[in-house]
Amino acid sequence: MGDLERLKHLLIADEREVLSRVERRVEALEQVNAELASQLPSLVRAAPVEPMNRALANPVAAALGSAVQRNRTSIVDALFPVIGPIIRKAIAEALRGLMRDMNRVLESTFTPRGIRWRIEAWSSGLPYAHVVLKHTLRYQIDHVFLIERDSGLVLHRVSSPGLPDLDADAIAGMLTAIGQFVRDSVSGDGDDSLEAARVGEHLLWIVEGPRASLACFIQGVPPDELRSVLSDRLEQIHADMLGADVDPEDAMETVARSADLDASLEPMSLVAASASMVEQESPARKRSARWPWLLALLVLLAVPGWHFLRVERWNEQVLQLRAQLEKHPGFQLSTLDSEPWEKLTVRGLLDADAEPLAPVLDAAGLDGIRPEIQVRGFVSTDDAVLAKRARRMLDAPHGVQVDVKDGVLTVRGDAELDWVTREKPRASLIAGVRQVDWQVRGHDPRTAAMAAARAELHEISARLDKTRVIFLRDSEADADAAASLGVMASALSRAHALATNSGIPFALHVFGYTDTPGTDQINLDLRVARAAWLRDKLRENGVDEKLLEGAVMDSGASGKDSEFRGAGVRIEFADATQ
Amino acid sequence: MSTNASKVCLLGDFGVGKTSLVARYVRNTFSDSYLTTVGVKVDSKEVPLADGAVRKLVIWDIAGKSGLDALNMSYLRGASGLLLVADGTREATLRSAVDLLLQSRSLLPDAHAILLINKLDLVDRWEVAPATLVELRKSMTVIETSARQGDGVEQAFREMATRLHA
Repeated sequence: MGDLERLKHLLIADEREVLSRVERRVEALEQVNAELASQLPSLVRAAPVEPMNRALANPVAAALGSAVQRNRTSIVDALFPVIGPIIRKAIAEALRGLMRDMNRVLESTFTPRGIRWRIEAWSSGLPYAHVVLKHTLRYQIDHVFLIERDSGLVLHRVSSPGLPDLDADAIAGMLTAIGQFVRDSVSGDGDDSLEAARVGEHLLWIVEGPRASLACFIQGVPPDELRSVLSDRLEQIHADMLGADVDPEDAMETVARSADLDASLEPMSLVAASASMVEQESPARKRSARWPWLLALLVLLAVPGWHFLRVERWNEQVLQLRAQLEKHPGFQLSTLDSEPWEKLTVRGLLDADAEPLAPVLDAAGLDGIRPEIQVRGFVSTDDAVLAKRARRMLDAPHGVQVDVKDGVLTVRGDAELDWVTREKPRASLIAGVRQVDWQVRGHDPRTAAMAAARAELHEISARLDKTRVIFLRDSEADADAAASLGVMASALSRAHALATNSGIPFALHVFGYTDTPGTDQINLDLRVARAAWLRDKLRENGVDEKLLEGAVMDSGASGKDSEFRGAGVRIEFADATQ
Repeated sequence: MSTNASKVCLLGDFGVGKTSLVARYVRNTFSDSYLTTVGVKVDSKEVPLADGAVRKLVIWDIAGKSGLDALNMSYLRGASGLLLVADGTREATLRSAVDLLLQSRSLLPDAHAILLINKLDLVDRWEVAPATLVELRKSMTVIETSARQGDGVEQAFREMATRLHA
């Protein structure tokens, strides 16, 4: 050993020793870790059950959740063989239950017993299912065996009192053997099992669990809820086994010997529990079972009800139509044949002067049903029809009013004499008119025309008297002369036409006027000249030549009578009163 | 469990006398027709033991066959004891009994097994050689029985009950 080595030894010998121990420990731990993977399964198996369960519960749950999230397909593939049969079994059980319920309802619905139960359900307010259960589900549990599934040995047994003794072990064994035989014969490798057997009134129900089965010997017809109760009890037994603080191999025996099991499997306790379950499910059943019946009842009532209401509506409309037709003037209804919402035939007598029936039928509101009309003609004596007929036949002029009341034709007003003379005799000949009240004043239209013409001539005459042509000098008219000439020409033309049409003769006078200055001769000449001037101007303004030729050229007015220089016209005709 | 019951299966070839042995010993609850229909008949017997205890044997008489099919194997599940029955007058049935024992061991490795050589009343016609029995006794309990006369029957079941009780 060199000096350097000796020095090192003196300085770090302790540290080297520590380092060496640490290295050895690390190597040992690495060795343990390397072997841990292979030893872990045996270590887990060797570990105490309960602490190990508690320690692994959370990590296993978390790992399972993580595995489901990340490897869903693998998990599904692994569970599929397990889940599939479970789902199928659940569905099959549900379908069997459904079929049982349907059969029970169908069997009891249309029988006198079923009708009696239904009446009882309605009268008592209880759901029908409840009443059926009450009457049909009378049963008694004779024996309840808790059987170890593999060996068929009876783990626990409860029987109703008063029953003869039986070899429970042999029966349970035979039951297990038969169950295995049935499973082997029917379902092969499946997990299905014998669940029930019936001989007459005796029924055997078997509820199987992973390690034990419950066999229930029953007389009568139990409710399905009893099977649920048995399943609950069996699940509780298995839960107790898992919770028992003993070796798993002995857990079943420990639970089977527990005092609570007697009470749990007591027949009366099971019956009470199933009855309680029936009661709890009743409201749901009531809700779910009653509405289809209510719906069916509603439909049953709705169909005839709807038909009844529809027929009633039709009949009401036909009744209203009949009333309308019976009131219709000039129509005599004979028959009204109707097939509700199918056909309507109207038969009767119709006057030619009556209003048509179509608007009445259209207003009846028969929803597209077009009535068939079969009518024949007749003469109606209805006042309205008579009035229409009278107006048509008399062709009453304006001013004449025609009315009929109670067959009495009243004609009143003013009419030309010719019409009165012609139509008055015909009025009494109109068909249906019982009496004629003729109150028409007849008048000659010519007389009226002459009177009108004469009145207008008077007015024209007055207008002409006020119209003058003023002369500024001897023969020089003022600026308003043209307007005055127009008025005169127009009035004279109208007067000429009136006189010609009415036959009233009239005379035209044309005057000339002078003022006082000047000699008489000069003034006379001026008056003649001014009258002539006016006649010429009137001719120029379109006054009839013949009228002007026949005019009296009056120039006799003295200058003393005149206060202006001018000319004018006057018409003169014979007054009717004169 | 009611009165310490144990499941015991009776195995053996056809005609070796299994059913007769059971009929001799136990109350017959069920008809023998189950053997030909279901393939098994179950009976029970309470066996008083020397220490005053009572052991109940639930005896599964499995229909005679030289081999075990799946159904018969399912009948064996949960059994604590095996009574293998052979006909002393037919040596082949002894081989069948041994074969049945070997088959059932795969399912019941810890079950107690007793070999019954039946038809002791016909011992003069036995094909099973005494030397064979000597050899067999080295590995398992062998009891000669006569279902007809009752010899050895009660002893066999008591022996099984005793072993199960131990």
